[in-house]
This record gives sequence, C-alpha cells and structure tokens, in this order.
Amino acid sequence: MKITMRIPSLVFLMTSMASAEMVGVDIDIHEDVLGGKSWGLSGPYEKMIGTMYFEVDPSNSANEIIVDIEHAPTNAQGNVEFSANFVLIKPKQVERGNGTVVLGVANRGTRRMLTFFNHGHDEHGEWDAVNPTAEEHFGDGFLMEQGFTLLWVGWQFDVPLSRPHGSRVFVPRVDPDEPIEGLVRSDFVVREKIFDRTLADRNHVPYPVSDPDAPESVLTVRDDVEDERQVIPRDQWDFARLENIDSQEGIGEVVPDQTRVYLESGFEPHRIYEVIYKAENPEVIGLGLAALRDAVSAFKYGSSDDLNIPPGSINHGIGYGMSQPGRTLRTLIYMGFNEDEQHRKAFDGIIAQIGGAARGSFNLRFGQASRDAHPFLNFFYPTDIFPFTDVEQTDPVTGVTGGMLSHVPEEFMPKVYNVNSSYEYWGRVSSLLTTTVDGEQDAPMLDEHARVYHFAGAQHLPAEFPPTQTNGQNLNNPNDFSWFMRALLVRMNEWVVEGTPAPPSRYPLILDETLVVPEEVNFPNIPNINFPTKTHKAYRVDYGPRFVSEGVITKEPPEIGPAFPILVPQVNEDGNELGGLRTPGLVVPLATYTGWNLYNTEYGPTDTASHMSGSFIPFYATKVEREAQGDPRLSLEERYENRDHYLGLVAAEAIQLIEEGYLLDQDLREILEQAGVIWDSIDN
Amino acid sequence: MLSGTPLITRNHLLMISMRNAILCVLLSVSVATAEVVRIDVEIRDDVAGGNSYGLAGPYERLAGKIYYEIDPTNSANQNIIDLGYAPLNAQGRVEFSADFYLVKPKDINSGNQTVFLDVMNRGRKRILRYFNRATATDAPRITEDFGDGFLLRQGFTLLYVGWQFDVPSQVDLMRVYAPVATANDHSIQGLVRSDFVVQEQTYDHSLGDRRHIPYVVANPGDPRNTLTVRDSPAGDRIFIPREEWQFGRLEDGRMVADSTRIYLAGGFEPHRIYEAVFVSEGSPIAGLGLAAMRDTISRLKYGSTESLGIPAGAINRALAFGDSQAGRFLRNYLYDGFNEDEAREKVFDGLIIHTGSNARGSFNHRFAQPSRAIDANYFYPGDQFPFSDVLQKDPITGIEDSLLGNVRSETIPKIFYTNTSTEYWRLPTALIHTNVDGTKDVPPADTSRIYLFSGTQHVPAQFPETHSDGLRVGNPNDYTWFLRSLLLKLNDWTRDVDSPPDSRYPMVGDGTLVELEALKFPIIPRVKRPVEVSRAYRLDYGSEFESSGIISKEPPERIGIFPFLVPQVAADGNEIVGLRSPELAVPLATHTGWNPYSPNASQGSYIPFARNRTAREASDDARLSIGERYESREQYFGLVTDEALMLIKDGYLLSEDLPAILRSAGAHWDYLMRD
Repeated sequence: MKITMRIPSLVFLMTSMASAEMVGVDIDIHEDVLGGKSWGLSGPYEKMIGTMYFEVDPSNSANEIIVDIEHAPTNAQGNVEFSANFVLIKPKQVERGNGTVVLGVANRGTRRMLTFFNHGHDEHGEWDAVNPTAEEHFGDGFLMEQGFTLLWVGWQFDVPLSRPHGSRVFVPRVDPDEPIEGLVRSDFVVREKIFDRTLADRNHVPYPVSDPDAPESVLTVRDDVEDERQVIPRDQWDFARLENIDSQEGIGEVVPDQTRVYLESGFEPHRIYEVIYKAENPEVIGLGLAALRDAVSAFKYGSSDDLNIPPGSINHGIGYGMSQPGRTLRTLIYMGFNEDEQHRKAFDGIIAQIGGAARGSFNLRFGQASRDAHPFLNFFYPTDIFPFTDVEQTDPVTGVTGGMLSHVPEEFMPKVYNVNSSYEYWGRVSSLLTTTVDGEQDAPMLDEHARVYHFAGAQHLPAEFPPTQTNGQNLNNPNDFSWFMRALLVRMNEWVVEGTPAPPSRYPLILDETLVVPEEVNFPNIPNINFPTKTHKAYRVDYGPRFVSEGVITKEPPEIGPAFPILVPQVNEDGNELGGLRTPGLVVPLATYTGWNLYNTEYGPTDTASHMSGSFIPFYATKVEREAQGDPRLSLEERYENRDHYLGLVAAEAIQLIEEGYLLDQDLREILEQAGVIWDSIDN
Repeated sequence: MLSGTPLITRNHLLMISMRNAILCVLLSVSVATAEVVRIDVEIRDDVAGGNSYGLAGPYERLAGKIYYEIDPTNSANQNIIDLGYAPLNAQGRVEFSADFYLVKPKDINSGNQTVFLDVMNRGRKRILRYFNRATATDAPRITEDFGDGFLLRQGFTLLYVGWQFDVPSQVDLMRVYAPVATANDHSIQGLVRSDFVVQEQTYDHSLGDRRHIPYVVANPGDPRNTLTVRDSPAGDRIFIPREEWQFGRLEDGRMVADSTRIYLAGGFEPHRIYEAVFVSEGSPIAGLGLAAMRDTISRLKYGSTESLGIPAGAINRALAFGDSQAGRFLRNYLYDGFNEDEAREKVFDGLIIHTGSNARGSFNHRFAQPSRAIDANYFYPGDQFPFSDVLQKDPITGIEDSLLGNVRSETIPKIFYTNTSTEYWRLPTALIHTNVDGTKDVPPADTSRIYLFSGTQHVPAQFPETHSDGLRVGNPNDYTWFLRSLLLKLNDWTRDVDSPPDSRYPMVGDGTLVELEALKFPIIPRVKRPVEVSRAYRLDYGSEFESSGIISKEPPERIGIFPFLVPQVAADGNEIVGLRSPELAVPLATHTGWNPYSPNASQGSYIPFARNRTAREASDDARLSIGERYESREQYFGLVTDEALMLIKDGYLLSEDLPAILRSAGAHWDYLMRD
C-alpha cells in the first residue's frame, strides 16, 4: 500500500539545477510534441516526463515551516530527501518562449491546463491526457502559442493508486525514536448501500489504523451536518473489508483491513458516517509544497542541461491551481513557502481558481489533502479556515487577527488572483474572501498585489454544451468562463513580466447590494425550479491547541463554533447575477445560469445544494409557451428580434470585455460561435 | 540610328561578356558569389523605445547602404538591360549600391525566420500602412510609426531596399545608385517621352514625372525634339511650332534655359495632354534596381550578414509586398526572371502583388521612367502582353507567352495577386484571369491565387471623410484586414504547413465579369456611372524594344485595343463576387472602385443608402433603405458578425482582428444613423 520512495543514484544526480534544492532529474520520456509541430513564434515544443529529486535542509529557516520536518529521516549531509514525478512541456528552444514557467498544480493527481486553457480533449477522461501525444490532447495550442513553459510537479503523496501516472510526490514518513501517534477522522456519505469503505477520501491512499482493536476508535452516524452524532456500537463494525460478497444480502467473508471500515448492517445511503481512529508515523506531507517551491525556483534561478533549460531562459514563474490546487496555492503563500532556501521569491504570480476563501490539509500531521468542504461532502476539515481576506482582519468572535497576504514580506510577495465562480459562493463561502468577518462590509483589497474576480452565473467548472444532468435536479451550467481565464492568464503574465497591472477586480459588493444574504436573493419563481433554502456553511472550528502553532490536530471531531456569515450574489428578474465578470452569454441571456443546483434523490438531500454543479434553466422560445408554463421570465422572442439581433448584442458585449482586458481579441470568434450554438439549440 | 551614338550590337554585348568570363576564371570562387560586397550601417538603434512585441521581443532598425558587385557574364544577369554598357571594375564586375532600411527583432532568433520586403512605391515605405494600420512614415522609429505592431508581433524582419534610381530628392526616400550606360566613354543617347496634364495654366513643367529626377535634354536644338498637344489619350497629336516652346523655365517673368524643364510661351492649358519627345543622354542601368533586391534577399537567405545581426540560417524565407507601381514592379521582376540568383537559387518564396493590375512597367529598359504610371500617363511600357500565369496566345500578334514564362519552375514563388475594384476600372485587370480576347476565364497557376477585394478603391479612404461634397467621397471599405490574413496564409503556404484560401474573382463564365455595357448599376439620384474608361492598347515601341529594351519609336504606335471587363454588381450596386468585406456583404452603402466626380483616378465612391423608406422614396433611390434592410442596429451587427465569422473560417480574416472589424461596422452604422 505504501508507495516507496525511489532511491536516486547519487553520482548522476548532482549535475543539474546546481543552484537549487532540486538536485537531479530522471527522464523517462523525452519526445517532440506532435512530431515537431511549430506553434507560432514559440516554435516546436518538447515533452519530458520523469522524476525530480530534491534535498532540503531541515534547519534552514525556509524549511522550518514544514510540519514534522524535524522528524524526517536525513541523509549523510543532514538533508531530507524526497522526489516528485513531473511533466514538462516546453519550447524546444526555450529562449523562443515567453520566459515564464506556469507550474500547474495537479488536482488529486490530475493535470488540467491543456484541457482547461487549450480546450484539449482526452478520450480517456475529462482531464489532460496522462502522456499527451495526440493533436486533440493539446487543443488549440493556446498556451504554446503564448510561449509558456508548462510544468507539473507532484505535490500530493496520497493520490489514488488508480491514477498511476498522476502527479505525485514521494515523501518520507517520520522516523522518530518513539512512534508519533495521531488522530485521523474519515467521514463519508454513500449513494447506495455498501458494507465496507475505504478510510480515505475518494480512493486516496489512506492512513492505516495503527491498532485495529484499539478501544478508542469510534464510528458515528448522523443525518445532517449539524445533527448529533450517534455512536455505532463497536461490535457492529470493524477495520475490515468484505470479500466474495453477495451484494444484496451483504453476505461474504470479513477480512481484516487496516485501511477500510466495515459495518455489519451496511452503510445506508445519504447518511453521514464518521470514523475516528489512531494512526502512526505519517508522511511529511508539507514537503509537497516544498517541491512546488523548489521546482519553480530551480527553473527561474538555475539551469538544467538535462531539461534543456539554459541559465536565464526562464525568468518568471506563475502557479496555477484549479479547485483543490487553488487552495494549495493559497496555503503555500499563507504559510510562507514563497521564500526558498536561498531567500528568493519562488512564484511571481499565483492564480488560485475556484479555491473559494479556503486553504486545506496540505501541511499538517496526518493531513488528508483531498478532504475539502462541500454542502454534503467532507465536513469540518481544515478548509474554510480563518483568515480569508488578503488584508488583515480580526474575527470578532475569536479575537484572532490575520490576513492571507498581509504578513508576506514585500520581497516574496507574488501577484495573486483569487478567481471564483458562483458555485464557490453557494457551496464554498466565497464571500468571506471579500467581506469583513462579520459579513457587514466589503473588505479592503490589496490592489497593488492582488485581484479578485467572480465569474457570475457560473458553476465550479463549466459544463460541456449541451449540458447534462448529473447530481442535481437541473441541467448543469455551461456558462463558459474559460475565455476569461485565457485572458486573465495573459494579463497575469504581463503583470509579473512588464509590471502592467491586471484589469480591476470584479466581484459582487455589499455596498451596491449585489452581495446579499441568501434570504434576500430575488430569484424569480420559475415553475419546477426549487431555490436552495440551505447553503453551505463554514464554522469556526477548534482543532485543539497545537493546530495553528504545530499543525497537529488533537481534537477529533473538532469543536464547532458559530458559523461565519455567508453572502451570495444578488440576481436580476431573470435570475442572473448582477455583480462580477459576466460572460457575454450571461449579459445577453438565453437562460438563467446559477452557481447552485440541488441534489437529486440519487445523490443527496433534495433541499441541499449539490456539490460543484450549477444550473442551466433556458428561457422558452415563445411567449405562448412561457405563459402556458407560468414562467415569469421573458421568452426569446420577447427579448430578441431574431438570431442576428441576439448575436449582435452578444458581439457588442464581448467587444466591451475585450476592451477592458477581460477577454482576448483572438477568442471573440469562438465566443460568438458558442453563443450561436446555444441560440440554435434553444430556438429549435 | 541616332547620331553620336555608337552602334552597339548583340554581338558586341556577347564579346564583352566573353571577355569578362575569361577574367572571371582568374578570380577566386568566393568572390564570384559575393554579390553583396559591403554593408555600411549608418544608423542602428532600438525602435519603439525598446518595447517588446510579444514573443518577437524588442525590435531595432539598421539603415545605410549596401554595395554590390555583379558578374555581367553570369547568366542570371543577362536579363539586366544595358548591363553590357556598364563600367567594370578591375575584376570585371559592375558596381552599384542601394539604400537599405531594416527593422528586425533584436534577437533575430525570436522572429519568424521570414524577411518581408517592402517594394517601396516611388521610394516610399508602404507595408506598415497596409499591414500595421500605421500612419505612413519613411523613417519608422517610434511606437506610433509601427501602428498596432502586427508585423512585429508576428516576428517578421522588415526590409526596404532602394530599387528606383530617380526618386525625388527628398529626405528618407530610398533609391538605388546605378551607373549610366556608356559606350566608348560616352553615355548612350536615346529618345525620351514626357507627357503631362496640368490642372491650371502653367508656363513650365518638369520633364520628369511627379517631382522625379528628369532626364536631361542632350541638345536643345536637336531637330528630333518635339512637343504636341491633344485633348484625349487617343486623339490626334497637334504639333506645337518649335519656336513657341523651349527647354527652360520661367523665372521672374523671364524664360531661363533649363535642360530638365519645358516652357511654353502661351502657357500649358489645363486638362489637355502635352507630350514632349526629346533626345537625352545618361540612362542609368535601371535593371540594377531589380538585381539589388534579388541579391540582398539572396544574401539574407543563403549567406550571413553579421553586420546586420543576421547570422547564417536565421532567415530562411523571403516574402515581398508591392502595391500599385511596386506591384507592377514585382510582375516585371518575375517576368524578367529575377527570382533566381547568380547561384541559381530561389530568391522570393512568396509575393503579394497588390493593385498591380494586369501590368508591368518601365523598370528595366533604356531610359526607363519607373514612376510613369499607365493611366494618368499615357502609353508608357506597362500594358504589355503577357498578363496571365499560364500560357496564352495573343490573337492579334500571334505571340504565345505567360508571365511566368521566364521563371524556372524550381524558382517560381507562391503568388497572391490582389486587386481592388479600382484596378478593374482603370485598367484591363481582368486579363490576369481571362484569355487575351476576354472571352474565356483562365485560372492562375497552381502556385498562385487571385483575389479581388470587392467594392474597394485603390487605397481605402479615411472614414468618415472630412469634406462634405457627397459625390466625391472616397470609398472607405477597408480591405487591409484581408491583407493581414493573406500575408500569414502566404507565409504558411511557403512553409508547406497550410494551403492558401481559394481564389476569389469574378468570371466571364458565370456572368460576374462583364463588358461595361452589361453592368447593371442601379439608378441612384445624382450618381452617374462611368460610361467610358481609359482603354489599354498593344503598343509598338520599335523593333529593339522586346529584344534589347531600347525604345526607338516615340510616341509608340497603337496596334490594337485590349478587351475591358468589370465586375458585375447586385441590385444595390455592390459587386457580387470577390472577397466581400463584412461591411460590403451587409451593406449600408454602395461601394465602388470608380468615381467620375473625382480628379483622382484611384478614388472610388461611397454612396450611402437612404436611412428609411420615406427618405428613399423622396429621392427616387432604387436601393432599399437601411430601415428596410435591418430591423435594428443589433440585427445589423449580428449579420456583420456572421459574415465576419464565415470569412475567418475560410481563412480570409484573422480571428484576432474580429473585434476591430466589428467596431468599425458599428461606427459605420452610428455615423449614418446619427441625428
């Protein structure tokens, strides 16, 4: 179960990236991208896949922030060794590129920049191909034509083994004289009755229970997040799995398993189970953040013959993370990982996309990096934790003061984007990113260094068009904000390279009432559409006295304090949001686009916002149809004279956004074509 | 033969060549291929304040002079008229030089490996205006001079090499410095013809065209010097008695002798065609201008020029763009076989021959006058057969030839022939894609494409025009968006990464290319469509012209007229076929390539539709009004968008230009519908 660390061949190692803490690379695959196809002025690209080897000095002040590093095994030089797999896609002549490396922080092992920015496709899945080789894997080549060097370095040690080629870091476990013990909590909700389940989140590598028979292990069940936990008698469950099962009857052979929990009567759908147990000698997971830091520093300040990167050819680094990795990057900056061992700035720019106002379990003892926080998935993990805003604030309830960026020294301060969709407001308490802790006022922005962009009327990630229904009651939301992200990435690069400030922040404000308490949202009364009555909440959570100072959770389950105030974007009479960056298709709408959806009966409680999905609720084509259905929203024919009229309005809106810097000239064509496709699908 | 001119025969020429060939053997091989022998860089500095143009990075400019030596015995040089009369240096080579101006990425390896040569028009730089939407300047240096930076962001290396020896003496106009044809220590004499039309009564006029450096009269008293006048190009010439005019100018009310000007005692009357024919001497070897261009490109592609910061291998493709005169120059360059260097290598990989119509020009013959156009000036060399890429037979002369007839197939470049509507109205431009009697369509070579920019004038007019005389308003239909896309397509085609968009031009076969009489132009109040055009003729310049580039018959004899076909129009007066800009396809006006109310033959017309039905009916305008065509501005805008998207898909427009194209359409609507 444990992934063993590759032992590097030392002599070979010391040759490259001499100035950095990255001490060597092994390259398993090195080939031209698409047979040497040229991407504009960037020329042909090459791809390398392999392993990077790192050594860090545990006594260096830049490394003292790594939880448990003092317990990590060291080599003869007193350094801690670890490694990470990597994928590098770079101009063959890197000087022909734009001199910027974009480090893509993988999400649970999946790499996503080619699919998200380039609109690439992989027939095997929704994310980047594990070894991109085909034309469609690279999409329209946007990132290549821009001249970026793309790098993915593993940072998460517990990526599901079902993703053998996923981005992964190989870190040592602590090796103390006395075993280090700690509490691990694992909660889960199942969709259909099952008898055993992994202790980890979504197939990740679990922390095994150290003593399966220890009496303090406890399993509870409850029906709602805030309900009281009911303890399930210890004799009804075990650390075990069922083999040779008759799934209907639950009859089979119970086999002891330190990584799974088994319940005799079976786990019932839609109930919240939670097991708390002890484990020992965890991996030093914070080395994953050091891998990101040291990789980008090595590219910027070092050189590598092996990677065909001459000195001075890469001068800037941008970290890009989507969803969980957005939180990873927020955590990295917050904890001080943007200063490397030689006290230089690692990342020049950080793009935390759809990470909400949150951080995560990325540098904690027994941290479970995959654990997040959704309305009905993963509860009370250290995700939505104070502080939230870039500027310093005081929580009036706890009296604690802090800010996300306010303590970062100028010399290590990157430019930072926090970019979110409406989903993060409904499912991820995103409003805390821009409000005072009491939710009464808009918080000041750190305009010199940071931007906040809200993609109005969008879900976590845009659905394909035509959209399907997955976990919600409504169709998923196809409002495509990737066009904004392409422009914003270019703007970020201009900001860090040329010093040209990125376009102004755009997000809903308390001041102009575009950000309101959920009860005040004037959502129209659309037939058969239920407006959510419950939103995701974030609480002040007490993980015990050693949590903030040492990264050690001593209280499981943690103690839950008062919830933070949550605000959401206000909407117009169509149900579409007023504030933030609005796509042309939202401003000139054919539908209501929301950041929320409600679970359908298969997935969860039907009054609860479903995880990561929003809604697409088209208008009717004609007045007759709409009136027959009692839909208060004007029909297409009441809004637009015809398709051309509609398209003209969309074009005008898009041009406005181009002028403001939020969209790229070159993307207008596809934006308009997409708008035409949506019209055609609704008008027919 | 002319008195005082030594009789030089083809045999003599051959003897000179042989003598040089013998000398050549004695010289080292390395010198034999060094056509560019020296480059003097007088200016080298950053442009646009060191601004970075995307991945191409910052640019710099280098300007100065290039020195050439060519071997008159090399077969690649046999096409240079009068080269046999050029003075030779000790190595038996002909020396000449040319101004150059280079705008390149500071780090040449950041560029796109393509040199883009601007065949300047009468010494003036053109490509930044056409491709970068810049205000024209002849010494581009500051950011504004580079417009929106298009060519720079694309990574092109921009090159300008002087090729015309007689450009006006003016700062920043670039020229070639060519030796004068000389035989037995005397410069050769010959006939020069100079015609002109004045707009108001004038007493003296230059013998050159439009401030160009004129040829001097060799002997004012020579009886062969004549002056005639006529009222139409084809009208009979009336000789003006010799005592009424002089080679001179009026100064303080007195005639002063001047070998470069002509003076008429009674004054030249406006709008009449005057024509002087005189014996001159001192004919620069004009064709060295073509060789200068050839050899500079060849050096950049196949050699290395450290002094320009261009190491070997940094440039591996060459494209050229020429408009109007410069477009005709490129047709001439091709036809005369200059796309092959002394080492038999291909020079240009691609050409955009813009508004070059069906013509060539006065660029490589004795006593050439490169500035002389073929419509405002009359009967200068230009409209000579052949016109099309593929072999045609002139039914009158029986001669068979093609424009590419002298180009070895390995050195044929990829060619885009682009023309505006104006070229179809000024000249028999249709001959580039019809047979010589205009009865059948003839496709271009596989290596060429032909595009008509429908409903456009020679160079797009400013919009909106500042003056108020509606009948003279020029045509603002902006085809430069097409040129941007086509340039990139051409570059891709030369790299074999993409095939170019299909040709788009009107055809006889489907009735979209018609005789003037068949044009179905709508009735528009106050607008009179042209009923006659300036026709082109087969011309006889004497027996030595084709073989030796010597004009012995001035004025030339007209021996037959070429057919004249124009693009057919739709009910709104706009052309049906060709590359129709979104604003033409979704029109708010009639856009034409002609304008009978303008004295400027290269101006078209812009005739807006009536705003609404009431206004239209009140003015008896046959064309539907804007209000009848479109329900709203947004609908109009949407239709324009659809058209633009289609043109992008077909490769005729660039995605990145779409916002600007749409903005301009919106501004057009707002202008016409303003209160």
